[in-house]
Amino acid sequence: MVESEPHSILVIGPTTSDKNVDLSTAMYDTVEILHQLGYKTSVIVEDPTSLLSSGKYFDRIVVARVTGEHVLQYVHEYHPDAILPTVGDRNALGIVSSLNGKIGSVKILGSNYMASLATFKRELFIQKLTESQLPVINFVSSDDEKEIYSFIRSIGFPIIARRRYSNRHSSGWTNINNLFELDNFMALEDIEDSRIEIERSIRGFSEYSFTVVRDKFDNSALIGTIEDIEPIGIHHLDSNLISPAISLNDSKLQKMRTASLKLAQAFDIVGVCTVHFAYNHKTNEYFITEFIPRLSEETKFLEYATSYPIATAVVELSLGYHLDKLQLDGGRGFNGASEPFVDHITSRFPQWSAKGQKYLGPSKTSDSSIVVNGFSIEEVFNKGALNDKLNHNVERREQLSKLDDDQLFEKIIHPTNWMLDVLIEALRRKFEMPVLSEITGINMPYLTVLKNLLDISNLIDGDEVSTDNIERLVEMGVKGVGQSELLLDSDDVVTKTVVKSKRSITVSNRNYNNQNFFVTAGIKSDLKLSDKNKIIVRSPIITSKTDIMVRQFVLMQLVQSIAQNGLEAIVIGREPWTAPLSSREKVIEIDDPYMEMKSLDLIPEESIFKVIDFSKHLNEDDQVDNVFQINAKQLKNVEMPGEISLRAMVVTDGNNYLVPSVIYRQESDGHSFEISSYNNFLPVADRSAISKLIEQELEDNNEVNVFNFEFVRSNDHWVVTKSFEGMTDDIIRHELASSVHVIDTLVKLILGNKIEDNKTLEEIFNNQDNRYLLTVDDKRYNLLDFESTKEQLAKLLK
Amino acid sequence: MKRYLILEDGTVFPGVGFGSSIITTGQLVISNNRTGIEQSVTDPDAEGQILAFAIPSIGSSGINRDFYESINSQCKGVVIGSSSPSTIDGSISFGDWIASLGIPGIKNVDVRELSKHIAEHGEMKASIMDTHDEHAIDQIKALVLPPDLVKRVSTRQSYPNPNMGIKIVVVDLGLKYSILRQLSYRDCNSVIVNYNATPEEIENLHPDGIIFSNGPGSPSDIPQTIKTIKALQKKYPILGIGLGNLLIALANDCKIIKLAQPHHESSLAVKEVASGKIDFVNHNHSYTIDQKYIGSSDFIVTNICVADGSIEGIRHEYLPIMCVLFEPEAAPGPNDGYYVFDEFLDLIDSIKFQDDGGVDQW
Repeated sequence: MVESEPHSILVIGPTTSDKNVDLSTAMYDTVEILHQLGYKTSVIVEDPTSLLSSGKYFDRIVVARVTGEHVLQYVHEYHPDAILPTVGDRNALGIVSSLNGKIGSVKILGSNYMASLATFKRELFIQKLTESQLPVINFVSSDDEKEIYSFIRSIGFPIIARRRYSNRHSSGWTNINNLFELDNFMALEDIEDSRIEIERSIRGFSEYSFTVVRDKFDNSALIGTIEDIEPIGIHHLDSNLISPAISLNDSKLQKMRTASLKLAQAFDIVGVCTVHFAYNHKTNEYFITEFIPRLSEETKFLEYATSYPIATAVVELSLGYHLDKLQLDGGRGFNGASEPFVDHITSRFPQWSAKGQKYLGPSKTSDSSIVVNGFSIEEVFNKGALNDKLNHNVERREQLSKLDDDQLFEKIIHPTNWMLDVLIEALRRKFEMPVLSEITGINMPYLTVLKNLLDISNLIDGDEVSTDNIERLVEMGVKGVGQSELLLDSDDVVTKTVVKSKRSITVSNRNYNNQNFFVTAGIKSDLKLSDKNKIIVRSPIITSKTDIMVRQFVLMQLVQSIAQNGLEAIVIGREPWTAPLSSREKVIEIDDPYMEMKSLDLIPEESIFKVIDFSKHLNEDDQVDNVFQINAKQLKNVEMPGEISLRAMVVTDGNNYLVPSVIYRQESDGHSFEISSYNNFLPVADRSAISKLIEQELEDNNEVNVFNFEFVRSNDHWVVTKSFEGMTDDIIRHELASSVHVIDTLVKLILGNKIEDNKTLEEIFNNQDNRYLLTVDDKRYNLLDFESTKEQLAKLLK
Repeated sequence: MKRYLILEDGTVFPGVGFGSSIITTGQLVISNNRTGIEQSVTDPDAEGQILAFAIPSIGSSGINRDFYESINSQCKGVVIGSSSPSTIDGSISFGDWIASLGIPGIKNVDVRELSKHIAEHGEMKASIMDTHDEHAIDQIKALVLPPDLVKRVSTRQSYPNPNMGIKIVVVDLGLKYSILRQLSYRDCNSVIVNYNATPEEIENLHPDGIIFSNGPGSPSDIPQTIKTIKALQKKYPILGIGLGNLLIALANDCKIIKLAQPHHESSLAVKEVASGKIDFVNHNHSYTIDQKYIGSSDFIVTNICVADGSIEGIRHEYLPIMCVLFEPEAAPGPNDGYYVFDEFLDLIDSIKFQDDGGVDQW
């Protein structure tokens, strides 16, 4: 612990808003390292399941709305030495900026008032950057119409505009190209206390973001750069992203690196800061458009891309550690003074849950994202944005092929989430690349890549694949979709499909050996396996924030349990899964967008003890007896009204079973109430009735499995209304609430352990938890002790 | 066309040829530069080397003639994984540029595996060829790389880089233009001389300070320059960069060793020992000064590499001599090291303002 530094820290957790980025792994890493370093850590959080842990690292968990008022209340009651807002997304910075002068000597770690405020107050941001001679765009914020029109006369059109409300929220930017559009914008309903913000439009500029870390001794390092394939004007997180930024020459890169470091210094950010730039490659004009002094989607992505443990580093830097003297788990030294050099490309492709086209603009519309790795742009396009298994690109292109040229041109002018497919169709029709680049703002190297891929797909369609062109095909990322076999069969190709490490290859930190890999082309695999028996975990594709959390949680518990039971866990998925830092060196993780691992034959069949699969449908060549499907398959669904219901998780060895967790639910006065670990309140008669129903449901099952049942109370009887084989989304609540670790129990049963015969009902329903999660209306949470839960139940039953 | 990168130890990396189709042999160096292919290929340090670039999709950012570090390309071949077929600024593509320079290249190589191999077995000779039979490997083994790399790249004739400020003589051991750019930026009036210039020739130019530049090869290849340093070091403020630093160390009874992992990376951290300040700077060297002997010399260590603790900068305790092994002029890489030139000029100023101007009394 650094001397004279704080000892008790309040972490501002995330809200439940879907708009927030999932930073659950970063949160886990943050509190785990604080715990290891000996700090007393508390957290204020809306949904405790987002902590991904049962609270072992926390001194105190406050479940409440994450607001300035509640943070202030906590400060006055418990007097923490410091507040850490870096894992609380934008909301936490808003809170910090409102605390100025109200929290006495309590320190703010990782950010500060000025930096937090400047992320909300454009005037302050511009003032500070101007003072520091950093490039910033002309801007005005005013409620005076005359001032606004006068400013626009001085800068001319196009501009972007938004309304900023007194509660710090804003309307989102609107593009305005002429006086008519401006008049329309100004005529929109005027909400009291709102101001209008106007900025010179830099639409069409290329967008880059630079993430730097900085210690309190003014040492900084550039952790990574990200390039948006789409230009400014399309929300950064709706764009296809590439890291490192490959289109920057040395002069441009250094210019923006220097500006990023200078900004972090100007705001005295001790921790992490992501700086966004707009760059015009024709004029070499560039501006800083925003900065993010906290963990974010960018830091999460760069942690995937570079394997630099950003979340852990940020906590330690904010506590006063020197950049080159950071610590990993167990006190192992980590040299944070390294600018990771990666020899591969990592890309983030946004995903939309709806299949149709979505117009893109300055406001975010995507629901999730897929991250892929490769050694060329062609490869990452093929694996991500143009991977038919993820995006239905073939169907998209069939639809686009039916458009006439004018209709297609309309799609080029008004960008949608199908843009890359639209461009491929345009290239197929021989539209000129420079013209397409000019209209879309997508730079030439990417259009050339699309053209290459089009040529390749024409070759493959025409069955012209031969040893003459297969080398080129490999370079272009032709792996999977049946082509891998060709590569494997031919002795005369330059590279074959192999598995490579995602670790940055800089000479620093050779002793930090995270085990993340991706399937790609090369002559030799980086993968080295131990002699241990293995459990392969095939992880799922994620489409929503809830799914992310469930996957994070289940995978984390699974791999920890597999390791504890003496086996080696290998997680294979279509996209990456980054384990919490403490597990990252122990678990082998392989990104396999085309699910080729099996055909690569890199993992000896005889060493695979079991495959745990998250998908609902097994692969054709799976040996069914060796695959355990963990995802829920619904077996029963009976609609039955009832005020009171129970949801029970059951683990069975095929003979006996345990019910470690029961969730109680009651609908009352138009509200729903759920209480976890209801086992301890379940009357004996109900236990007996429910266990009989479970036994009936399990009658035909004679294998290790996990089941979820819903029981509804009707006319004083319990009826099974829903049953699932496998795990449902309830798993986090079951697992966090239950003293019996369901996933660990399941792993033990999979390994061949048995549940003892003749267990009593008390033993079957055993749950020694002393904290109970109350969920109101499926969105408000509270942690209660036994007595308070009892009172709550009594109130409900009245 | 299929070609092969063949290493001295017989390891073969297949790939696809581009650029010139000639057969080439040189010292294989893995470059972890993030950007700056123009600088790397035209850097005189690359004389006699085959450069393997580990960055992916090389060439997207275009080729900028303003980034050249010498008039001509210096390296003997390039090895890459993937390249971009077009550039963001419409300039010539990487492949076409390499072809226009007459350099043979090989792409689609598993550079990751190549890097691992070199890290494990050390830097070695390699060749880009059309075949990979035993005869080819024997040829590489038998080839002796020329020991006169500095002679090949150093200017044959002295030339001025005129400005109005402090007068610097730059001894060209393989000088990068960016050192001159930095001197010009500081209004230095410099004259560049051949590596073999005698102490008298240098003194006749009446310098305020002398720079011994970066350069290729081993410091033991040019003993005559060590003699020049010995003759001048008590008379003038001196800055040594890269090879220049190694020669100054040898002139003062220090020992030079090969780095276990050579530094060829455009952004690697060095720490200033006195202040603890960390800077990210361009490194391009395979040798360093042996820590064991530094204590018995008159030098103090000013900078160390954060990653491996090796010496990156020294300063003489009694004489106005400062040296860095990294490349303070960047090109490519962060500009954190520019301060070295300012410190050197301050050092010169501090000498000039003394009454008698003599270094002996410094």
